[in-house]
Amino acid sequence: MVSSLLLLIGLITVVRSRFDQRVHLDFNPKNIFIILASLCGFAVISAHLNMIAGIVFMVFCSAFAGTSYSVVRNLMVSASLTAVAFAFQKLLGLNLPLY
Amino acid sequence: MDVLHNLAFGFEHALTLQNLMFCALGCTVGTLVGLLPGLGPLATISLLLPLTYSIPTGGALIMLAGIYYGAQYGDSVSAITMKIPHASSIVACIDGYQMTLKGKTGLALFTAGVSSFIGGTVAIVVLSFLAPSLGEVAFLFGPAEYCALMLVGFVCVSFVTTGSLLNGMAMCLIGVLLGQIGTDVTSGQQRFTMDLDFLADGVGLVSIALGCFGIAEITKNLDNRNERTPFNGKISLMPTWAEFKRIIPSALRGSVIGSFLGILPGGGPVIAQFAAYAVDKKVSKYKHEIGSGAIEGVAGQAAADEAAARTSFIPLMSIGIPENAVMALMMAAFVIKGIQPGPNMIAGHPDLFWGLVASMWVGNCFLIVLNVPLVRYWLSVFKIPYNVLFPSILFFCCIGTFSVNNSLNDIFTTATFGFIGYMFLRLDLDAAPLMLGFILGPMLEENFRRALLISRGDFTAFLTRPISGTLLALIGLFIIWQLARYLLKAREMGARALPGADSVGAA
Repeated sequence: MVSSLLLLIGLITVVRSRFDQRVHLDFNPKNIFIILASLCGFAVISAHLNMIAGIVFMVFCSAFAGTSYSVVRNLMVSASLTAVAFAFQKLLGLNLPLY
Repeated sequence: MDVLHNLAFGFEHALTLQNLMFCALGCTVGTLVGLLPGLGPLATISLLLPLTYSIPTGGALIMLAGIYYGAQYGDSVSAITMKIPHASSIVACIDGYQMTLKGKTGLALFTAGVSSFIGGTVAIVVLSFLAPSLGEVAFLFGPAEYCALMLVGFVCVSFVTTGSLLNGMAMCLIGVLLGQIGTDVTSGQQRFTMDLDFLADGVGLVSIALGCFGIAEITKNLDNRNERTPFNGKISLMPTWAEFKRIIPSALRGSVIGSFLGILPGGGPVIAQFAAYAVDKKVSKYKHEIGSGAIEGVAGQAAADEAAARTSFIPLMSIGIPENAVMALMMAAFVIKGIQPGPNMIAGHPDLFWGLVASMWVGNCFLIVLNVPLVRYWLSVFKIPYNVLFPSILFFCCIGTFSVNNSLNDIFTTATFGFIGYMFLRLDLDAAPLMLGFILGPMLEENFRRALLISRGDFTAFLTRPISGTLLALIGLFIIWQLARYLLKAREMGARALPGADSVGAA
């Protein structure tokens, strides 16, 4: 029932689009793929190695999407986030596979 | 007078130094987990549950309750400043974030803080005066009534959505379909799981919320080459008198809606925020501004969110039914301490019940201080350059997603919804109705099936029961009214176009 309703709305949308003006789709694939790669890389590395390596990968990979790239800044951010992760593990008791 | 006497008795317990300390601790931790994207009260209370063994009963319950309602205060902050919501602050992303883009972050935060205070206060009054009898309202609602109530929720989509009604309904239905992923509660069959084990329990609400709102928004800001977050760290908290006057009616409406929906099992803060927003969008004096950064768009939902969080204690303490996952954990805390929540609890443990109610007043005062004058200190984190901030947000999103089930697979789900959310953003589709459909969809299906099982397949059961029939009639009236309005508008526009066409013809 839900799928049929969705199909109906889809058909109406397709028909409606024939009468609407074309609009340019502002889509920049680079940044979203960098972010997705850093998230997936974090999960894969955390599963197979440990979460500290995952955090370092995520920070270094996601920084490519930023306006500037600095290795020193990335190292500092990685160190801070690792410290936060340790705090979560020790103080809040989160079950993080840090090492 | 009995209530005042009982409240005084409750304050005797709540105002001891030890309980004050637990209340302050709960409120501070609650605000903190509310602020941090992904780390909600559910994860925090579940992590702190073992602590209740070593803390006195009253103190433990006061602290856990403080975390829950404190998180409802704090969760608006990340939604307003960074468009990264918790489940109960999804609606704050709409107008709250629009206010941030207009440079009115301080006003939005003040509105959310004060409205939460109003919502909390009204809910505590409801809790104090009506708890012993109000819990019975929930008994009037059977599956057919819940089904009709869910459908009313879907109709709310037409108000919640900021653009086209068709797009809003489409997003809502996609949400309903997403809610069907996982194991069917009635037959035990797996649906749409693609043989992936981690989908057997369905898709997590946190994954969808963080993906569609958090990840999508971060990427959009990166596309815009933002050096800083759209929130620049400078806030002016104090509103003008005219602005302050706009907060009150909306907050009071939200408080009443939230207090009512909080009592119903399956209701709670998540649904209350949508309902309050929908009502404001219909009846507010400034309804035309809602959706583009209006005070009412923040006030109503914040009050409803907070009020529902408090009144959701009513079914737990009055009839022993936890209405959501957090309340189930609270029930676990009661049971750990050897107390069975239910009709006998108020009479059997008046010190606990009234102490908890009184501590909510105290907690409300703590929270207004933490979230209004002191909010600028909490926000200092957002003054960091965006190149440093966005990897940190990604980290919190990952940890928040992971901590729900301790599963790294959930991060893949969040990433997938991040991409989907980004595409929605680029296609100008609002993700809020999707969340509504996702939350209400499974409840609708479950109650629909139960209602049909009880009535032995007779569909008229939905119409013959008074509450369900009334709600369905209201939906019918609403649709007829919308259609009539559309036709009248089309006729009016046609009538206006005719003289114009004549004059063009004459020219």
